[in-house]
Amino acid sequence: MSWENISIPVKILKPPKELEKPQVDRLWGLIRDAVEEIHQMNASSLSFEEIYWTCYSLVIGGKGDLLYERLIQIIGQHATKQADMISKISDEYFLVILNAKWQQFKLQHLMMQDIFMYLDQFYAKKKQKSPVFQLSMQQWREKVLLQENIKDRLLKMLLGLIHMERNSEVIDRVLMKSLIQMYLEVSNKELDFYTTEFEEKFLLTSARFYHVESQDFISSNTCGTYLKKVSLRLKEESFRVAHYLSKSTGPKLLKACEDENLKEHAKTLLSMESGCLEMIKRNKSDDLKLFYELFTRIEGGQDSIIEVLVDFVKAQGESVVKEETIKEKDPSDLISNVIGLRDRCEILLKKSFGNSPVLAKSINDACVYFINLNDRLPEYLCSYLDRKLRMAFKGMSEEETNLAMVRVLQIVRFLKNKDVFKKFYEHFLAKRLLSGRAISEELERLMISKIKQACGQQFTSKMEGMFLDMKLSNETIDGFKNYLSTSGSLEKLPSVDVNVRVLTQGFWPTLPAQKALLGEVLNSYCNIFTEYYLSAHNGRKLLWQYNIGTAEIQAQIGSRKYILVMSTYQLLALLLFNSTEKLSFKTILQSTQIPAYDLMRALQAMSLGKIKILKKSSRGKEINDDDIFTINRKFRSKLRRVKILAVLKSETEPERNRTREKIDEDRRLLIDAAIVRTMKARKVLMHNDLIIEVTKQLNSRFTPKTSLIKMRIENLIDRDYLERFENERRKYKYKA
Amino acid sequence: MKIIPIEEVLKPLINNPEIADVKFCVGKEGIEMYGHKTLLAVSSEMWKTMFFSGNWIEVQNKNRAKVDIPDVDPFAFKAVLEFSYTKKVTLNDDIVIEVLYAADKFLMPELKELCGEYLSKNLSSRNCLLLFDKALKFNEIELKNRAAEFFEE
Repeated sequence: MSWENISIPVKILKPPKELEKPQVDRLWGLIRDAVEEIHQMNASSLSFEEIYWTCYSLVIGGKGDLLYERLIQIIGQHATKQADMISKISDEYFLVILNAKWQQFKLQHLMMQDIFMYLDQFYAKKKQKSPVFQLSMQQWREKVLLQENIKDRLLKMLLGLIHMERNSEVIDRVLMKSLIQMYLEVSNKELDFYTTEFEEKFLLTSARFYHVESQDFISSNTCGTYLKKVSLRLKEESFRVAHYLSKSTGPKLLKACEDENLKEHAKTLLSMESGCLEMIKRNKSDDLKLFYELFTRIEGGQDSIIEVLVDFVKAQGESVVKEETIKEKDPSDLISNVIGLRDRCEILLKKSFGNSPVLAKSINDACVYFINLNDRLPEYLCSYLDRKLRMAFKGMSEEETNLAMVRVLQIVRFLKNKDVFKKFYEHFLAKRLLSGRAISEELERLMISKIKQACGQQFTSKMEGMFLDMKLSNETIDGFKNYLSTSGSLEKLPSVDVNVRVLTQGFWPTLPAQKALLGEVLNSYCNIFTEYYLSAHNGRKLLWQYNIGTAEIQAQIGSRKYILVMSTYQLLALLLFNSTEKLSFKTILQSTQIPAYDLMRALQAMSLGKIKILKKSSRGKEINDDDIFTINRKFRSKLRRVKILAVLKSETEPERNRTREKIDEDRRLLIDAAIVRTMKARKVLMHNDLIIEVTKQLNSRFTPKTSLIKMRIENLIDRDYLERFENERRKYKYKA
Repeated sequence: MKIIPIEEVLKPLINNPEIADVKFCVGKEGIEMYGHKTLLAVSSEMWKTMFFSGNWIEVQNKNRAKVDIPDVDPFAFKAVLEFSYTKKVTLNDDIVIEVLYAADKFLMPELKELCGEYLSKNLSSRNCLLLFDKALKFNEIELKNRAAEFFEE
């Protein structure tokens, strides 16, 4: 045979020759004496090498079994002796002595672990028996810790000390740590002595303690005070874990505390008089922060806070957006309140709810809910912005202005019907641009850029178009004035400083082009301008909109001269008085051809307002056909420049309706386009799928009503874009 | 630059009484030999425990200067020291069994392996008688049996 294949000769030493009995007795005697010395704390006389060798000799002499068994025996005897001694100790010294004896026992058996190393490595391991030290721990567990006079007494005293500490008494934490550590050290993988003999009981006592304490405390304190106390208690328990308990107890202990202190009382804490709702109402952000921190620790805690918060925001929002809150047709307060509520939510989110994304979403949803409750809110937002922009955000720093704009746009983002906002914004912007008054172009452009950010490029294209028109108009008018002075047309006409704005149809909210008789002079100017403009821009068509024009005239009333600022319509009416003293409404109407409603308002502004240029024959606000107007010769004003306003004042009912109609018309077109686009791509589609697809496409602009989409489908069927299937009426087919 | 192997650096320390921190009395005659606790502890669990286990340190401090090892052959102990410092060992038929004994006792698995390799390579008809004798002395039943088999052939 070949010697190459001999197995690792480690095995060569085994099995060795059995030792003879006298030799064994001699060696065991040495071991027994040495262990005795160790147990007597006389180890200093011992030689490590000698005991190690003795143990080694016994093991390689095949006497591992004997050594192991006898060691169990003497360790057991020693442990029993200790137990007898400890159990007789009075309560006063019990824990201290037990701890001292335990520390001693541990050290002794660590020493034994060292000298019986060879036994552990080459006997116990091979036979799958516990190492010597574990054996010692087992003996201590069984003989000492389970001794009837020790077991219950130890547990009771430990739990008693913890109870004392919970009642603010000072206890010996080092002793606690050592004794509780003992439970851990005598545990092993198979037997979790710590958990079964200590932890389970400790957790039960803790739960009972907090059960009693929390009930007592919650009935006599406010929510805020209660939560502070609970928070403190939780901190204390964490410290307790750090100081003298097993780390693994931490989560269980905190859960028990949280369950008793928070989960048990969750309903009360949410709804009690000083509870969550009240904290939100009173903006108690610090209390609320604590509330949130604690409640997120318990199951379903965050959800219950969200519920309260969302209910509050919705209820508050509902009352804020009510029409009744509008006083004197001024929706500024309503919008301020909406912004205020939104702000309040933001602050709570930041200060109390740690900017939690989940809560942020819930708050946003609640805002979307209440903001869209009032159909007219988009319009109010525009009117609010109109006021602010007209005054150029008076009294606000650049930063504040910016912030104010951002806040409004946060609301705009929540609108379901952004198209309404867009229309009204365009409407108000047009008015601002055409009012002839100075506006802050910088602020207007800033606002539009912010709207663009929030709603997209397309959303603001018309608004930007308006600005472009204004710029081009300035250039055009400069060119026109130049043309007037060089062409010689001026010689035949009285000098009028004409200013014309050329507005691109499509960019501007369409107003019905109304005819009016301008009188000879103005008419000539208009004709010259038309001629001039069309010569430069071939193929275009100009439609005059006198109804939104303004004029400044010099007038002598009595002995004084004034500059009167008025609308074009007012001017046309007033010019008639140059040749006549008295004119009836009917006559003015015929001579100017101004629509009756507009003329009425123009005359009202001149005869009923603060500045009475004209006198009306009848009393009251109404104007009848036969009312006679005369120049008010007694007109006096401290100012030389007098503004007769009111024509371009707030949104009038007909204007508003017109805007509304325009929005509806736009929506019909958009829906038609969406339906046709979808059907063209899909060819055949079920009714419900078509509705869903169309709604999805339009959602960024507005939320179309299903009934409206249905109507448009019918309309498109009539117009031969679609047809129904003969046998399946809810299925549509695209007709190319 | 010339690279000096670490075993060359440590070699002068082997059994050098000048800066040693432990003295051994080895074999029946108690021959004095010297070592360094730290270096010994690196390759032996037993030395590590004996010199550095916190449990025995107070006890050991009292007679740490001298450790009696009457059951190990001085030549074998020299080999143990050599291996502890250099991870290399020079074995021969005369001491291999004694080294094996010491390596087992001191819990030095690597040294045991080297002895094993030596034995499986060098057991031959030439030395089997000698090893047979040694094996008898050390109660090595398996080695004895193997040597005997060889002898019979």
